[in-house]
Amino acid sequence: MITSLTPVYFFLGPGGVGKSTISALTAIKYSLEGKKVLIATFDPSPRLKDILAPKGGFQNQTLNMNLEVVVLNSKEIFESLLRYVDVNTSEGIKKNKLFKHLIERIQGVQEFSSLYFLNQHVSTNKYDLIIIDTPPLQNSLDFFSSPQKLKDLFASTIVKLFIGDFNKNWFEKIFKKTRDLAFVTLKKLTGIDFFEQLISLMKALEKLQPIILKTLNDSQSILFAPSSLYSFVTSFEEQNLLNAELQMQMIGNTNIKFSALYINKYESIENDEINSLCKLANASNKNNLLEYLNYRKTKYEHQYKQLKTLVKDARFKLYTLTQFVSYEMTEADLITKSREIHEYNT
Amino acid sequence: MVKNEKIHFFTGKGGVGKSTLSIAFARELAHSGQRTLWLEFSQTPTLKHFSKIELTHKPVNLAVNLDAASWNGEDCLQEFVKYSVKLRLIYETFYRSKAINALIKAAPALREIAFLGYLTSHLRDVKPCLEYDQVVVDAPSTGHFLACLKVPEALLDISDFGPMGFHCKGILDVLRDNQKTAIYSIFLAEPLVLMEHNYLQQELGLLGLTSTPWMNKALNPAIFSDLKDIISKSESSPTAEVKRPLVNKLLSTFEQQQQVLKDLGSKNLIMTYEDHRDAIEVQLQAIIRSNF
Repeated sequence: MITSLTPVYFFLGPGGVGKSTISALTAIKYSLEGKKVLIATFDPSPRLKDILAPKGGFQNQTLNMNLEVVVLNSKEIFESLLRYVDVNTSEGIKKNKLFKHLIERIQGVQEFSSLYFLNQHVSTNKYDLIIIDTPPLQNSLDFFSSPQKLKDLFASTIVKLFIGDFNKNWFEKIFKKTRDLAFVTLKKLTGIDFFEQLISLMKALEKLQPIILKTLNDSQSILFAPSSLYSFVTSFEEQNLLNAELQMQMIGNTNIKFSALYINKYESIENDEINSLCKLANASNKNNLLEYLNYRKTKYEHQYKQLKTLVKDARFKLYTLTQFVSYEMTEADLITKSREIHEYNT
Repeated sequence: MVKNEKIHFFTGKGGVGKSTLSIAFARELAHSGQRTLWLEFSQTPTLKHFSKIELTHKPVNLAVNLDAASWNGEDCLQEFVKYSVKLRLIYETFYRSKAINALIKAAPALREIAFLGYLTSHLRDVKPCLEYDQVVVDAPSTGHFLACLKVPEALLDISDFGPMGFHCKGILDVLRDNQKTAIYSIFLAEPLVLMEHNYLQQELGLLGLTSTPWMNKALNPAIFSDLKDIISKSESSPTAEVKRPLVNKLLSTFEQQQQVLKDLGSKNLIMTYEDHRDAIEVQLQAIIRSNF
């Protein structure tokens, strides 16, 4: 049994809102405060990756001491699992072309990778805090159901269906007959090479089953442990704010509680400013500009209204961050930016 | 106008306006008299754009010449199997098999190749085939889209002959043909979005594909000069100095935008401006008229 778990912050949210950036900045913030932080993220944009995981460590001494970044790669994680199987199997998997090119295309593999990573580090007591930047999902609820889905997929029966030799009784024999007939069809449609690679991949995955299932079981308990905290990240666009409200509601119906909501690309615009600009535009007969300003005004009104609904009766902290303005981020930019995460007061 | 059958992919970082642009684009193509299909490729159909119509694999008619559908790989695969396996009994055995169902869910690449295969069918003269002049795809964002496009080459590495090899080669030929495929990389004049745009261009290049850069939500230069004009007037008055975050934001946005235009060069670049909501249609009409 795991006795003391390191606190884990999960960052959930749709793609494109700046989830990687926000989780990176949060990691930097806590590291600078003196906490030992480990952050795991999936292939962020190449530039962000260079900054977050620079060769030879960070320039900043505090960061150098306290922050550890891991860029998760599903293929590498599966390769590291191969030490649990015999040499023949592991060589077979490494040579398998489907595995080589397409391991990341199996549904749920990214989620598995982050959970496997988490299991390895959560009980080591090496860190004060672990931050997980979850893979982008259309619906964040999927992240919590992914262990169960993968478990179903790797449950012994399914893999056995492919490769098992069914000969015990008449029922099994019928099953085998239909399966083989279906396989003939599949071979015809895809070609023999593809089919053979697929079957050999399935055979190999069966050998990995025990470790995969163990990881999934352990991780399910971590996901719902009190030491796990969830933050939702969204951006200040109307559609994203609306989406955040819906998703947080859906997740709120489960046992998961959010501790924070981050609004990226937040803008604090006063009506006074727009109104005075409108007056000026009107006075100088700039009709196109006036129309544009009115359009922006309505847009902001919608955004602020939606933001208010989102924070109403909220039991989480709300943080805002304004947009990046610099072209290329440096380590110093990130440090500055990490200090600009502000708590929002209604 | 010469009818030129083509697939149009709209991709880019999340939030750049792929869906909005692709829908407006499809509407304008349909309006110009071409049979058009707007498609989203997704495991779970989103209803956000057509709140009253639930999109399915089978196209739904939205307007004259315009159909819309939501595809996932499994449906495309089913369509292909149904067509290829003539005997109903064999088809049913195939789909009733637990092993096959589990396989289709788990097998890497089957869904993607089925999607790309069906999408390009009419351009490859392969059946079952689509019957549209223009197909507009609201494609997944950069990473997922690239992963999907990498599939045919990866499969070719496994078998370059046989049925899979045949389809993969055909699909790649269509995707690499500028007459048949257009990939629009939608981006904004924002650092992170630009970074992803550059990454997409680079990765597409490695696959032998080209894309057209498309800057969305740009600030109209005419409006900007109007803005500068009134600001300079107000600055000359003594009471002017107040905090003005909107003006600052617009000024820096425009500055960034000009920098991007300078870096990318305006050749082959499509631009759409953020004026007010309706104007996007007018802008696209002009773009379609001059480019297609």
